[in-house]
Amino acid sequence: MFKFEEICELIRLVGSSGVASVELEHGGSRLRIEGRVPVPEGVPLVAAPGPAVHPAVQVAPVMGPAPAVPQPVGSESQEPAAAVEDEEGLHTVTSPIVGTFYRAPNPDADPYVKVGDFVEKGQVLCIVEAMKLMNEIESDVSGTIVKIFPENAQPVEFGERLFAIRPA
Amino acid sequence: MKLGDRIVRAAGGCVRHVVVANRLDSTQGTAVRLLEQIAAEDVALGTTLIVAREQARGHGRNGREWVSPPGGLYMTWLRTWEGNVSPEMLPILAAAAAVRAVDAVAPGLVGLKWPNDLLVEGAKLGGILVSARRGERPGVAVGLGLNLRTVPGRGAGERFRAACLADHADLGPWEETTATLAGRFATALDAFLDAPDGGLALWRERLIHREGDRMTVRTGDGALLEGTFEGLTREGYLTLRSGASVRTIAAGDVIHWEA
Repeated sequence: MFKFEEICELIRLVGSSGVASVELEHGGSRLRIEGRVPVPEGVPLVAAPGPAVHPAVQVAPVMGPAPAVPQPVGSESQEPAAAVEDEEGLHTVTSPIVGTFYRAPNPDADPYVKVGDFVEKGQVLCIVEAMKLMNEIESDVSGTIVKIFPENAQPVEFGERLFAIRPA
Repeated sequence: MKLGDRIVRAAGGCVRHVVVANRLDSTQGTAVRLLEQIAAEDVALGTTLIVAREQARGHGRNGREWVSPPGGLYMTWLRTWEGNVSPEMLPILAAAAAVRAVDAVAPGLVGLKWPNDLLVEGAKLGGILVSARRGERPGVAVGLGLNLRTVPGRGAGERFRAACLADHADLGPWEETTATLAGRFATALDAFLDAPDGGLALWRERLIHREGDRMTVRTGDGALLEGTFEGLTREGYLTLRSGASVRTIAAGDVIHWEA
């Protein structure tokens, strides 16, 4: 079976090599990636194949399993809520939608983050689901997770606090 | 003609890239990881379809197994996200696009269970799962699974009967059917993103629920909510009346319903 890294590499290859398609056979499986010529804005696409796919796509890092949803983990805090709220300089990540808060990508996975973890800007912190739309919520700062406000699988409102982060 | 070419042709210019794989863990998982990589590199990705002939670990909501033997349709539509339409509309517009796609081979056959399961006479024909990455480089992935020639049976945790399209329509070879469905889906979704009202209207029209229906909804924490269907909010959330109280549900599974 093909690994995700192999697929990314093939996409990169198609995009940068100018070939119309790439096929790879491996362990009884065959993967074919077909590209098309990038078309300038306003020019209609045609069916003829050509080179394509974004050339900046490169081999991906090894990631966790595919996303899905909940995990029986509760909220956690190493500091009392009042103390968190009183502490100046903390950054709060809020929910952009109404939905259900999940701390892990699927029931068998570890939580994305725990209290005390250092997170990078852009790192996924949680999922908020609405109507089978799994919204991956990213951190907009780098820093340390101080508090996780909702319980896992708890409904959250628009603008409700999800995480308190002490910026680095 | 190769499958990728067939899909590109059927999509009429709405698809930039097509990836065809014999077997993947899941097209959705692959797409989500691809979006992560795209975001990390701060680049854009045009509309891309990932199609697998077979999935080793296909899944739906809550990680429930989506049995994915050869012969079904397993695909994910993905791209970096821009434009005026909110990603929150995608579960609705994708459902409408899936209806359009199935209508191309079996007009009027499917109904929708809230929010976007595809049903035939109460049995599950297909499902949709949408993943959205928010942040400075947002991206979306819309997974669609349809039973074409086989009824794979119930996945783990799945309580509904399953249906397959071949029992209700004359299907050609897998490549031909896949190209038609994938192309129509991409075309319809593209059109609905340009004009969401059309997708919203089709979604409401094909929902099987009627005001006053009894239903049971399982929420994310496993709680079962029973009541009567009151209608939908502007966002498409389900409202359920139980006695004097009316509850709005943004996420959950309708696990039982009756008129």
